[in-house]
Amino acid sequence: MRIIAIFKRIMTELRRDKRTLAIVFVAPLLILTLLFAILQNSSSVTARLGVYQVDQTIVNQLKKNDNLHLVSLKERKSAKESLMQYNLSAVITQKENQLTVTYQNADTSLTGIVKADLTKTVSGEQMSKLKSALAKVTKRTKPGRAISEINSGMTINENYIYRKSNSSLFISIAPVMVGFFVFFFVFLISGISLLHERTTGTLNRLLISPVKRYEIVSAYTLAYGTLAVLQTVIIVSYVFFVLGVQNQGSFVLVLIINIILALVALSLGLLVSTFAASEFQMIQFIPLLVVPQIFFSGIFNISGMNQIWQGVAKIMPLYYGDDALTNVIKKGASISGVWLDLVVLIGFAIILLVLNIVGLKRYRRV
Amino acid sequence: MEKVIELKNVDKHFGTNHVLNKISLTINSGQLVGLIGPSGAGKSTLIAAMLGMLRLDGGQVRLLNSDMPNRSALQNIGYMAQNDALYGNLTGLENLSFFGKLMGLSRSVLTDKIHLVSQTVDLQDHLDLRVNQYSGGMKRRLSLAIALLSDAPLLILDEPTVGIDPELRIKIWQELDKLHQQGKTVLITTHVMSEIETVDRLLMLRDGHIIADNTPTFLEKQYQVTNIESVFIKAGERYENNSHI
Repeated sequence: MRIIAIFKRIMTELRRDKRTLAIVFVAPLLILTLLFAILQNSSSVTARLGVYQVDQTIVNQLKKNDNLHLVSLKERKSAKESLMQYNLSAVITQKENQLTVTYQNADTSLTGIVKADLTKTVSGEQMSKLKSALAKVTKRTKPGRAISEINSGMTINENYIYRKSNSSLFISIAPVMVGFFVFFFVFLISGISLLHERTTGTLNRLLISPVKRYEIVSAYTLAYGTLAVLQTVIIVSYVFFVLGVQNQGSFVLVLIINIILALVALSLGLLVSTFAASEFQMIQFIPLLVVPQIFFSGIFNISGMNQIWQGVAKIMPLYYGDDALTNVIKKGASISGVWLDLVVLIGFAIILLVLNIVGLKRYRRV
Repeated sequence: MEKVIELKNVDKHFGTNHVLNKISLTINSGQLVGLIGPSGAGKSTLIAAMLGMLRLDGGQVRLLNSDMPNRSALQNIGYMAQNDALYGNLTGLENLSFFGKLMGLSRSVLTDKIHLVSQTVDLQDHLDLRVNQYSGGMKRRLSLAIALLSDAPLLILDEPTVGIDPELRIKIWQELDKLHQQGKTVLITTHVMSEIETVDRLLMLRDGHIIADNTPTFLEKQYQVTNIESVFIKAGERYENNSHI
């Protein structure tokens, strides 16, 4: 079987290329660890907080926090709508002594800011109420009423639009990074490997044999698919079990998404390699084809962009991969929640693989 | 006699460079044919055209009774490229076994064949060495061994003896003569004029034209010289003079 012969050959070559293996398996872990260290601390950003029918004293207390920007809401709307419309990090509503906070929680560092300030404010409020209640107790010596007043202190009821969390920024971008590393390395290494075959003449030599074009592309897919599976298992395990990111969804589903993403990266790498004359030229495709995908992959929220840029995002494979990964890891989505992303990704892979098989006609017309 | 290679008006341009100028050529079964020409004459391009690896501007190629390009016809061709298309990270044995499997040889046949061809090219003691560590001559010999693996009726060898020392070159030619006697058709390109004296037929390619096509002895007589090197120079001069008129 020729596919198996080519597959085995690529695997043997990979196994002997110790440096590449080290980069593929160790570099992502190193970068993730660095990111983990850097992103543990929230930076000095301001959170926009919406308030609806909240006690003026509490509002005044909240206003004292520099890192909060308060927006008073006039109309009654669902928290989700208000969050969207005014681009808020959280919304607070009050019903008697019950404060209800709804965090948008897409950017968990903003959630952290609101949460810290709110707790501080409310406990300060309760402190002053306690003091005045104590004063009343000593004045009127009617303990029953005073105690009920102390008990009537504010309670906070918390809701989250996205996953319930007390997480750091790292956790919010971890799914994106997992997808990105697999995409990047598989793209680069598979592309350079085929390019190397082309420049050393072995691809030509390969084609002067009865091998079918699809057999070459299939063998490459199989070999780098295997590499991607190994890499994914290592990266994902590291992120979940060592760096402590909680996976709300299924581990297997995360693997499946990554493997499909790797398939797209592989076929894109192979295709792009035919337009490169050297390894260096292959590297030059990174700023063009890989870097923009990072921007649109979910590190930055694109829902605020105008329609054109949102359209641009939708032609990028990493956009779908990261959408699926984020949904599974952060929101615990099952396959029914991400199937559309997967279908789009598989579509990308099929189109690119077919283009590769056809593209080999440049070297041999049959 | 059966036609093994048949070219009709094969034409190819690279930009303004007319590499193959309406070449027509027939090579019959069992011939040992030498193809010589200055570098850049189009020898490798002609071979690529024969193998169907080139998009032609015009003309047809028939190889072993199939119109080229044809994938299954490649099964019956032992090919050795001018550049050593080998996998440097693999050992000699792994290279042989990989290309053998591509040619569709079964495992049992392959083991015997590898043993045989590696002795022919005197590499039997270096098969476990990575090709990266091979010398230039060893790489050539390994490429030749790969071409011989499939026992194909047609051998197309592009510069098989470059960088190979004289002793081994003689051995390789003895092997080619043996294959020739077994009835195989062999097309070989070379720069070494002295080794080509023994071929059945000599083709001289220049500027995309075949400027001489006959037995070495006939050509030596025609140009009134005693060796092929002089034929090569004289034929070249005559061609240059004619093309300038």
